[in-house]
Amino acid sequence: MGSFRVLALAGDDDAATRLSKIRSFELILILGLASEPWSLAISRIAAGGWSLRVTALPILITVVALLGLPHRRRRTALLGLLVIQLYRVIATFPLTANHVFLQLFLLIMIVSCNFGEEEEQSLFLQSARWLFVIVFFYSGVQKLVHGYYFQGEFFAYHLGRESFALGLQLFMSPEELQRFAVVLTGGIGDGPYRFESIAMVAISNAAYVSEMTIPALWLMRPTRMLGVLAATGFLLVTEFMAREFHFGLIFANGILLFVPSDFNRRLLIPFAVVYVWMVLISVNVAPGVTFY
Amino acid sequence: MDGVDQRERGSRGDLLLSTERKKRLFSIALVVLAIWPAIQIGLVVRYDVSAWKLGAWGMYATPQRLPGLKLRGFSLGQMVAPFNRPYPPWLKAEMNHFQRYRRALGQLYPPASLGALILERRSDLDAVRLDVTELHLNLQSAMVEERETRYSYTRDGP
Repeated sequence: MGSFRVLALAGDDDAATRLSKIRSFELILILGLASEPWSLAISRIAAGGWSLRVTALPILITVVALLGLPHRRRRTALLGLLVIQLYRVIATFPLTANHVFLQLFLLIMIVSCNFGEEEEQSLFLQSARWLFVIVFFYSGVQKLVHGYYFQGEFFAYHLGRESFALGLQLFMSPEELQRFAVVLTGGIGDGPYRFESIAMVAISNAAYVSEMTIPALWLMRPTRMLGVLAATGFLLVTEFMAREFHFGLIFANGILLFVPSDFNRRLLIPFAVVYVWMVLISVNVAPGVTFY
Repeated sequence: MDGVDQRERGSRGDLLLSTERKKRLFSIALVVLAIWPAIQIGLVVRYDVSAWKLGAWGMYATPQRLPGLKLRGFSLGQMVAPFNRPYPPWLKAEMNHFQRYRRALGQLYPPASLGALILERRSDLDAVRLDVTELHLNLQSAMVEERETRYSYTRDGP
């Protein structure tokens, strides 16, 4: 029973909007499941590297997802998507990207719950919220434990990446920017990779502090919306630099679970537009801003 | 009536599981997911496994670069280059595979299969030596250092 009380810490929603919120979350998740393989397949084909596995995967995901459109076949389609996702994890392991694991865990939760039951709607909502708490919190713990953020070592080492330099250049001297982004190339004996700029050291430490404290805000009802706003700001800043949009969008979908209404339903079209845009990037129809 | 309601609630759900049982399973799964990153951190520290991999949410926690690989062959006690550059496509593919897996799994992924494959393709060799070079950002000095691990494989094994 103690564990159930811990689950309940993640909070519940008004029954009137809970199911709509879950269905919207599910739809955005499926859009993400389909979009990434489509991007990959199209970019491979465009580069002349056609392969049956890479091309068949997005087609299969799309067909299975469409089969679930009639409500009575929804669970069967989701089960199909779960099997496909399990295949993706096995086929790519141990190189599997973390967001692919996250999608798998969320699919397992969705398929396991009978959303016809209000109690199971709550169970899903609380468990999915906890999953995002774990992911966000450990992203910070990992940075803290490995120690590459105390003096900005990680950012200094990766400042050669244009998006990092673009996002951080305001917080350091031009000499420091030149040194880390151009002069040092990461070869043997290069360094020292740490910042003199106090602002950069503060930003670097703020990264893991934010990731470890924002989930605590999500777990307390009075601070939940503050946590949503803080996480949204954090996500926008990190996506500006890291450009891991596939992970970022899954996470944005997760953050919306903490908003105490079905606000995510209003964002279905914007999410769909962004996902389509990401596929279009692969055929160079839209300007490319993602590296993944 | 309360007792009846409770029994009904217990028998709801689907997948042959009651809601209460699902709650228990979800709680256990979340506890496992919360413990796993701590174990993965141990693997990162002990075996140089990538913080980015194995579903422990350590993306961007550490710098990461592909390891380098030097090939040496031995025939009748003499060191020889096992293959001339440019390497044949199958060797390039194998080396690339090794580098990506090594970056993910660290010392848990020695180049044993690559060594065996080279010995299989070059029947005149008695042994191969594979030197894996990995760049690390030293936290004390903040300088980039190279760590080399040497693996030798003979026809009898490592």
